[in-house]
Amino acid sequence: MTGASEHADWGARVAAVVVERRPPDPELASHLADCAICTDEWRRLSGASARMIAAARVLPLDAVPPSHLRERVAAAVRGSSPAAAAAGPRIRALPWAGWFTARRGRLAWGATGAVLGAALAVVVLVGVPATRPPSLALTGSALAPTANGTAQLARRPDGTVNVTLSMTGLPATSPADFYELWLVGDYGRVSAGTFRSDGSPIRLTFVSAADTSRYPRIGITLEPDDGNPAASDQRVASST
Amino acid sequence: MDDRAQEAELVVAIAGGDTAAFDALYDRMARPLYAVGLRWLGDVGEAEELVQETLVRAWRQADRFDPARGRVATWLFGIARHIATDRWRVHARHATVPLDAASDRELDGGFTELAGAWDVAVALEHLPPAQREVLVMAYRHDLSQSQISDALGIPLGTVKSRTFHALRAMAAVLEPGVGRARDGVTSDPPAGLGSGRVR
Repeated sequence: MTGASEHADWGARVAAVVVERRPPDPELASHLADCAICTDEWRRLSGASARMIAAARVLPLDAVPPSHLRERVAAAVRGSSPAAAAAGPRIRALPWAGWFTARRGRLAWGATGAVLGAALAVVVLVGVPATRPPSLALTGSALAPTANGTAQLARRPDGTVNVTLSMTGLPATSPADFYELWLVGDYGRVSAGTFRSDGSPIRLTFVSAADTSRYPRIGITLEPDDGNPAASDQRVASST
Repeated sequence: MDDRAQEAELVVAIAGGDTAAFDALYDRMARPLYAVGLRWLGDVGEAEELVQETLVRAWRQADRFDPARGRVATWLFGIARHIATDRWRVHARHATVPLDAASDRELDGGFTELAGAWDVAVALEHLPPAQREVLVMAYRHDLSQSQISDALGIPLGTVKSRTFHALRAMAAVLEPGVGRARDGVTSDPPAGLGSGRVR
């Protein structure tokens, strides 16, 4: 094993513990104690990880603009200056315009099979109500036994979801904490947003770009305002 | 040419009416703009309007961009911020709850908070899609490496190597030069861990 590949192997282990926000195992800790290169790597990756944590807390990094937006923007540009492009060619992709070009290539697949596409659309349209109930009942946990309400899921044409939360009986939050709404699945959960309560009934709408077939349940946790983006274990309400 | 210089060249080309350059700028910036639009304006339709208006304004004002004054991403963020403020105030006038100067201050605070997140969102667009995917699943969906492996149906080792190279690339973009002085590892992925293995 060369020096470079050895450090890369350790680097992958460093990245795994950094991204999962857990301490290194004894073997990795021992290596870090003796290896300045991997210790530097640890610091560098930890810095990037901290930026990711902060960004993921405030931005829906998984949100994808709807495909029709591209053409809409292109049309708007064609109708405006610089004049050189007003009557110019249809916008085309540069060769290095990576993932978007690939996506459009996949879309072209669909266009070659109109019948298959129509059948798929029927399956999607018919299947959505069966697998994604439009309204979920929420009941309070031992932390909030009087809490109850509903979460209505309204799918938008672009695939994103409006989650309208109506709750009564949620205890008032203090300035040091807040509630967080989660879409919950078998493999984890996705934050749909945070809110506070003064104890009175609430009705709030959140927007999520998460795939509700992967996150079909709803949960609400009480979160300390400590900058830690991970979910606390203080579940106050959830769907069944 | 690094990414920032490449983006600056795109804007120069856009100023000359190059629609291909504009298309490339859309590829790089539409997703970050859409994300901040959702955050600022809280509505999918409004977020779409923000993306469109920002990029169209960039198209019209490309000749005003001065690379000596900052990055393309920072310039676009400034345009988006003005547009979002205008749209937010229009909606505030129609709100049932009176909105005073404190609300403006809240909005300004939101912009400041989002400036750092915006840099991260733009940096993510520089990653290969497979690397971007594992980072988003790890940080946005809070999945462990094993859970990502299960969800994507790929080996755990592949997830770890993608995460490693993705985080490393993010560090290089967000904090260039930090921690590299003693690093004897080349910037190219070593054999067996390169992006060529990324699926």
